[in-house]
Amino acid sequence: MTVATHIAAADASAVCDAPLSTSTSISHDLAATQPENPDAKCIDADSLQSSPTLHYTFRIDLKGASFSGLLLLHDEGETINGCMINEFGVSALDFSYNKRKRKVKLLRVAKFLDKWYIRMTLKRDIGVCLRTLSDPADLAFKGYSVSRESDSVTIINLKRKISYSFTPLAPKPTKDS
Amino acid sequence: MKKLTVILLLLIATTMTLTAARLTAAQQQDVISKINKAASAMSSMECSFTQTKHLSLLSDKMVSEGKMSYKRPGKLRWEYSSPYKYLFILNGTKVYVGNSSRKDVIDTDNNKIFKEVARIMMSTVTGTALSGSSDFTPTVADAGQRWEVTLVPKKKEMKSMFSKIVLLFNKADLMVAEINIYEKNNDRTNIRLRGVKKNQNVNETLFAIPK
Repeated sequence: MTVATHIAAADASAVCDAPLSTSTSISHDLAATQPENPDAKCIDADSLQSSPTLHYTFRIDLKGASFSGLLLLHDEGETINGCMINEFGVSALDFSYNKRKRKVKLLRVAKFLDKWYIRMTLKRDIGVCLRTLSDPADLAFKGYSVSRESDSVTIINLKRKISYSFTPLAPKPTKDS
Repeated sequence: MKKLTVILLLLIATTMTLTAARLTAAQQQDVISKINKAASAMSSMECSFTQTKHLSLLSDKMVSEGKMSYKRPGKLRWEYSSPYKYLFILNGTKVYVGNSSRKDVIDTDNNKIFKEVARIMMSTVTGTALSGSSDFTPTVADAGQRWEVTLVPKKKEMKSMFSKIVLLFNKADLMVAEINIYEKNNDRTNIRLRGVKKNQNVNETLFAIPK
């Protein structure tokens, strides 16, 4: 079972532009508006998931290194809070995404990621990733490529050659096995 | 007044049973020696585990489950089965990490970080991290049915990530029952070991490094 979220996609190259809602659950911020590009499709709002926290497995690949783990997202209304942890539960990154400003704020960064140039890249890339994650429309972001395979989505920062792959985690069955 | 006194005494008694009682230095050393002796006598171990990551930022938790196998002197298999698949194998100087999409084999002789990670994992799980360790300063407290051992990191790298690791040992068999890892950002990871089998035949193929 896939978990779908929709986040404001009001990037300059996005196909729809709309005022932001103040919904308290993760839903896209596009109200029913006319797209700038009349040929483009507006993103439809999906029904909300019962679980308030969304889980994905992720992998980040760059030249000579890779890092994998879990991405957890929680809608707080005006912001979406997120945590990236490795499989052993060790935190790598905590962040907050402001839906109105469309900006990522890094709240806590593990030491091996805590360099100014890495933080700068992560802020931009995470913003693109969040907007791409569950968006069914193929939005284009300058300097990035997006590809989808089944439930997984891969976003590549073309300049830095960093690849981010995300796959939704199925929620745990409620019955005891 | 009498009723209030009784209530206060009950509250104090409850509080005393809930918090672990600190031991004297001599008592702590005695417990550590016993745990070390039990760890030395253990040649293998298998169990299931439940890992619960408490995320302070999200006020939520992430629960995962899996199985662990250990064989002396230096073999450890840590496998997550739910809700994601992930495998960690330590066999001598080789470390394997992998999931469905990627597999890596690291030679710890050439990778200092992984060498440290592997060594600390092994010593924490088996309980040998308590003494003679340059990694942690241990303190022991009496927590009823269990010994509560708090490990405070000594080295800068570990200190930057963790404020402390708390191991809970069953008094009956001096085996690790629970591990609590406290991070600097107020996150906590709890690992509960279940169905522990000690000194049984463990299939050697569990520790084979996949190619």
